Amino acid sequence: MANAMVALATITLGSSASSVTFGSIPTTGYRDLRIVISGIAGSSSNLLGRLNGDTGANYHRVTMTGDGTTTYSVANANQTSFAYQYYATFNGSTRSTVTIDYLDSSATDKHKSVLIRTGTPQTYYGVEASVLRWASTAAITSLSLYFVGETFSATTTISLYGIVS
Amino acid sequence: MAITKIASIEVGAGGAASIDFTSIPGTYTDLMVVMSIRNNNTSAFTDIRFNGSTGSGIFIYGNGASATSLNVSANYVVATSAYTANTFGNATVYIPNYASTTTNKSFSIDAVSENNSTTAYQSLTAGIWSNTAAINQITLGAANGVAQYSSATLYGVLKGSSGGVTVS
Repeated sequence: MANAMVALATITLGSSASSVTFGSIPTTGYRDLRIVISGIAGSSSNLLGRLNGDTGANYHRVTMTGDGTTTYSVANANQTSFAYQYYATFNGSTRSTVTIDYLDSSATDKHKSVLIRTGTPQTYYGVEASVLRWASTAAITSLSLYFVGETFSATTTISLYGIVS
Repeated sequence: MAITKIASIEVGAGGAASIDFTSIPGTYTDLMVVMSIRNNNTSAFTDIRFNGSTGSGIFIYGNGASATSLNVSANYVVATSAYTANTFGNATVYIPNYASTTTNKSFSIDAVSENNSTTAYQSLTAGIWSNTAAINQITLGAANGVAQYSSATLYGVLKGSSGGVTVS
């Protein structure tokens, strides 16, 4: 039976790290990519990211959030990085679960759509879903995940999977 | 293979008290449960339990008219016995690092229900099971019982490296 989803790379942090970058991502053989994160940060901090090192104003998102009391929705256009989280951010005490799907990641004829589910099960953090767009027709060959002024804590695990074409 | 089917259960005629996956091996990285489920009563929500106990979480659901967010035990929406006949709710549960013996277990649930011409739900849950034990049992639908022909499949997800991709 052919594999539909292949584990490409993974890291479990033995100590804190300010960023994690997956590079040399193959552009043939896989149609979509998936990132799965289970972890904690040093303190409350919004997960950010870039594709192919692009620092231009090419990142857009729409987000919906529930924090256990209130619902929210927000949209941001023309940002210089993906803001993967809004309220349901990482924090220093409760493990977050994050899945990020990069659809048609190897395509060179379209902008890249990204779907993210993130959850930090603590009041005033909560659960979120976002749809994002990277305004580039380049195939994704690298993706970075980072915070501003904060780090991933030890025991955080980040895995990259490829969905076979 | 990154995803492997561990077990699949379909409830027979007459329904059941719950759907139970037991003796789950600790050899995978994450677990994923995909289900098609209908309650045996009129409640629009049911629960998931790990090693026999419930978790807690933050829950958001929409019903086509409004959105609500709550602090809950680990609930998700299902079709109920009062909904359109032969109609089941669907949900996916993802549990990273389920076999860890040093950390609590966070997890996510995406769920939808359907009910012709009246209220149905879509929900997202950020859940946590505050226990450092490895998860070796998952129980679905125990709060309300599950109707006949409800089904669920448990998958193991294994991290790894295929070579070539760098991590820094």
